[in-house]
Amino acid sequence: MFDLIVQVLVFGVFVAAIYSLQALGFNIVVGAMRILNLAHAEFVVLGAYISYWAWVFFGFNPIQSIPLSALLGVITGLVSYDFLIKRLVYSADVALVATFALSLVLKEGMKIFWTANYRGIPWTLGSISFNGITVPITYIYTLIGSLVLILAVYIIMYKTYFGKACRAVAFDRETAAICGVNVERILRYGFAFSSCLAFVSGNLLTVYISSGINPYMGQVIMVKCLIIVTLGGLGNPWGALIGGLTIGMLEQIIPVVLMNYVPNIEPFMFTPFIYSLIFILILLLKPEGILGGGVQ
Amino acid sequence: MKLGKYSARMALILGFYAFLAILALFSKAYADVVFYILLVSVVSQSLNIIFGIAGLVSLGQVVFLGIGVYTFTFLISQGFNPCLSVIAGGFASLIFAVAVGAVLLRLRGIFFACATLILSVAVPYFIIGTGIVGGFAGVNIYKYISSFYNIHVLVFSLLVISLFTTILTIKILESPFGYSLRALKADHDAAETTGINTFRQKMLALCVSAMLTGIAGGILAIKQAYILPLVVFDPLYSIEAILVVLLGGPGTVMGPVLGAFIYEMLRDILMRFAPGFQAFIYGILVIAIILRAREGIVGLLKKNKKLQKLLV
Repeated sequence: MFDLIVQVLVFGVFVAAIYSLQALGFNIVVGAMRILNLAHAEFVVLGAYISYWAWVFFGFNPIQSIPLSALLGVITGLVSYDFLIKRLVYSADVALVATFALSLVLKEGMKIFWTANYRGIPWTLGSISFNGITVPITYIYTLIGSLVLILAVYIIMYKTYFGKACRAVAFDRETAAICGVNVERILRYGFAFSSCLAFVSGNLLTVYISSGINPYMGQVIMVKCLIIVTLGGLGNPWGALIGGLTIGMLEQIIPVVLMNYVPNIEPFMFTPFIYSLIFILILLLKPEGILGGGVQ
Repeated sequence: MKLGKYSARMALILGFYAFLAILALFSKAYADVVFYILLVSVVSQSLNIIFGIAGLVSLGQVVFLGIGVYTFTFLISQGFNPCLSVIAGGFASLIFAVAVGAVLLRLRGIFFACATLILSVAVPYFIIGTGIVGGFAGVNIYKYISSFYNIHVLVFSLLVISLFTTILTIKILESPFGYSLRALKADHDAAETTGINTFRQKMLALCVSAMLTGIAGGILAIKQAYILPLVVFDPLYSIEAILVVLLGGPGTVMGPVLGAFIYEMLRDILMRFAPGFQAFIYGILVIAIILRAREGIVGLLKKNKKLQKLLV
């Protein structure tokens, strides 16, 4: 039992890195534009498909196809900002409905183009064992890749002009504009950056879900993303990291606990219900999240 | 004879429903279409009460429908009277709305919307996870309902519910309750400052909305006969309701009814000429309406001076 728990927690760390990457992108939009982009999960799924097609057509593994999906992510972000998001910033409610509709369009579009079949990338490099814990080597590469990306995001957000301007806009839009920040442009590139992160995290996610790429996987991703962001604090970049780690661990632990201690329950199917309870509890007890909302 | 403003409006609404009834009696194929027009009109009219009038964005209207479906399924398989089971579905939805509303209505704006979205994911997975009422594999209730199944009876009962919902919406809009809801939509804080008990009013609106949707759910269960959790709680129902409200005109009475009519006609055409593309096209439609015509069809028609008096 103990070995199982440790093994499961190690896997939790791998998944947590991806979740943090997704939530970081989501947080940039929430912070700077004050809208929830419900199509974010569909961007993640698009990234996963790009990874799949890069494997099928060019033989790229999910690490090698990162630049490709990052580029396509930026393009998708810019296009959807110019055509849709730009006109929605005046009202959070309208933006919510519109991005919900956008997620439907993307999801159904993927179904039409690529069918609803489950697909997977059979990328294996063997595995290493350490004290009875077995880890595939591809997972380790992916973990390193996602940690490097997370570090890069923090460097961009805290050291470059773009990141500082982004945080300034999130903190106070009018004051940022007075100080000479081109708000319109920052929002545009901020959205593109967010969608780029979603694509890249979807790209890396394909390593962990060995044969589960399908157009409808976005719903659960969206729920997780919302929970992570609320848990850590809306708009707070560090919150995304903490929330991602918590949910990544919980996701691995809950089914194991349910399987062993609660009879008559379908463990994997029941887990989304438990997330939802956690989410609603957090909203009620500490709506600003563990680290507090806003920009730090 | 010159009709008063009020009776002219009522005549228009009754005329529309009479038209639907005649269409349903015309043939079996039309009866099916009219059934869905009426179902969507009930669901979206009740969404209109909380979304259009009170301004609360709910992305989880399907939960109330599903609770109605499941209550009906459970009761009918225990051998209860079908009429009673349908009404019990409404009450189960009502109780659920009170329980959920007590928690969720403390949230505002996008937080409420997210919570309802997550609720609509949580409930089906709860049913699948615990395996109650058939779990993932669902239940076939055909053997319980085949003795009384008649599409015209279903259409007629939905017609009564839909008409009731529409008249209730008019009454709500004219009552102090409706004014307080509209005040709430315009400015939540200001409404609270003028002494409106915002939580109570929102709760009442949610309860009315949930109960009507739950009753419609019971009737949908009879039509579907095979109850699967991921089909009953399909998020498409929620977006359908939002699309219809936006299409018709949020906050208007005739909007959701006209919207449901146009929507179902569109669905019928799409089913014939572009199967598999419906959800894709609905998504594009919602985006187009949000970008181009925020007041919906009724809003556009109201620009005409003569029609302005007729439409509510």
